[in-house]
Amino acid sequence: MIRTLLLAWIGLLGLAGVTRQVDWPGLEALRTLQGWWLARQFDASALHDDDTTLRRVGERIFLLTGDSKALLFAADRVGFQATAPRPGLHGAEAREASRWAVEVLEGHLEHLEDPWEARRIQAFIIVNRQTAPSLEHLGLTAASAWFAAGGGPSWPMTIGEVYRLGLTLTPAERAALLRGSLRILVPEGD
Amino acid sequence: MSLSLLLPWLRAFAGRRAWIALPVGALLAALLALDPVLGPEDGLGSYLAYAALFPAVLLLRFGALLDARRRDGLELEEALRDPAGRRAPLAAVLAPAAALAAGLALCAIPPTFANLPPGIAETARHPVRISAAGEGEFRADAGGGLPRGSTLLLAFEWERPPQEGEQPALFATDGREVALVPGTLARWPASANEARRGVLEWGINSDARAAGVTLLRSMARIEVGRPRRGDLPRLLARQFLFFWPLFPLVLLLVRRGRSGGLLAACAALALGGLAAADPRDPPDLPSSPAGWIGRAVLELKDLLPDVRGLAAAGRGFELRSGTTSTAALAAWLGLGVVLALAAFGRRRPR
Repeated sequence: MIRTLLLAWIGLLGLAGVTRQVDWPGLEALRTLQGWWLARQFDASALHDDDTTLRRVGERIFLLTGDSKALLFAADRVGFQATAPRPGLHGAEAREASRWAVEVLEGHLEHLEDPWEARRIQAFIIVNRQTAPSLEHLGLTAASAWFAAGGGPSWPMTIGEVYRLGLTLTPAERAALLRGSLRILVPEGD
Repeated sequence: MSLSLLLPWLRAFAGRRAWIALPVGALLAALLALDPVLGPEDGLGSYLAYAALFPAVLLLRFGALLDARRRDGLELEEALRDPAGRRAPLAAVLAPAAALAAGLALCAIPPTFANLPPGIAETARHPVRISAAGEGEFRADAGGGLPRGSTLLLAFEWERPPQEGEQPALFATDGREVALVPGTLARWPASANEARRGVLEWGINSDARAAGVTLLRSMARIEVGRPRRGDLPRLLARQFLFFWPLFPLVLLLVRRGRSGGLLAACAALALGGLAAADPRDPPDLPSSPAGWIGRAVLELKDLLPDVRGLAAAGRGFELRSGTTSTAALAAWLGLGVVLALAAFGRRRPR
């Protein structure tokens, strides 16, 4: 009788583990080890400019461990840095990469550790790169949110000054100010 | 309590292979978790996750040893020597506790030699659920207790700048107030009571509402301090407190419940998993059989003391670490004592 009850108990908790509502002691170690292995794969794909793996592994690390740094790096690299105008870059290819970066960040925004950084990357991509016109509105929303947050905890206070200045302008002038500021803020070489 | 009863247990726990495997495993875990180049920022959490394998394996080993002792007739021999039946089960309770303490103490050593990744941020940020609690009033629910010193980071959109004489601010009913400035993140520190409950409540004052302030809910985060390497002994001691009551449970199931040792150890691990469960998004459970089971199990979890803070390990462990209240800790350890006392009775024959 007790044996049956214990088996049922173990089975119940095992099934609850399927929805990740219950983690058996020690299982976190396996997840951590998998995260470690994925971090190595991510590093290798970044070194070899393998953007396809970078996207896939960056998102997988986030979904597995909740660490969003790899995903933010992948989005910035694939959607912004790799889509800078250069000879041989196809417009459709660049637009697809930018769209992926913008949409993957939008999809995970509520669960990212650093949503401000996600908004910055989205805004930089939409304002400074070739993207679908349907993303224009999202670009302005992302830019406004990023400036409203003062860039997040790790940016200098000057980001917030742009937002305060924008509040004194009409909506159209404010949008132009935010777009202009994002263009100025693009790192040299991009 | 005679050492002669404890020593066979300890010798069995720490066979030659265990004495080599544990230090090597701890060293390997430190190398994996605290890699200075590619190590994760919360390397300490990763190390704790690896270290938690030791108590889990020890629990299974304990179950297997109980099975082996029964097969070898050692229990019968002890019962004949000690008809009152108290000393043998006492040894079976104390020996795993001693082995657990010694093993976790050993786990505290390797990280002292590891180089932590440079530039680790002192704080970590985690998503938090925000809901409206009235007009201009909000509630942030972290889904459980928070460490002391936690701060809520909030971003707001404004329709217009504040006019002269206006003082936009966030306020709480206990008189706390934080000024709001356009273009900056508002930092709302959790009071001791809010941190204990894991629920923060605040309102937006009328001046801020007049300026058309809107909370960007998807960008609200809770900021908590990261434990430092010097905190590792304390974190490992919490793991000891978390795992210890599971050993008397195994003993009880084997001695009084006539269960197999390994099966009892698995059941105890399942109970540990339930006590440590930290569901992130319960409302998002799928409406499948697995989702129903998940919900049913979460109902069961409410019957146990909240000891998530003792078992916190892995990514984001800082959010729960050290949040276990004294009452919950006393209840959890009390449960262990009750289980141990219940196991002290003579074993029922199979």
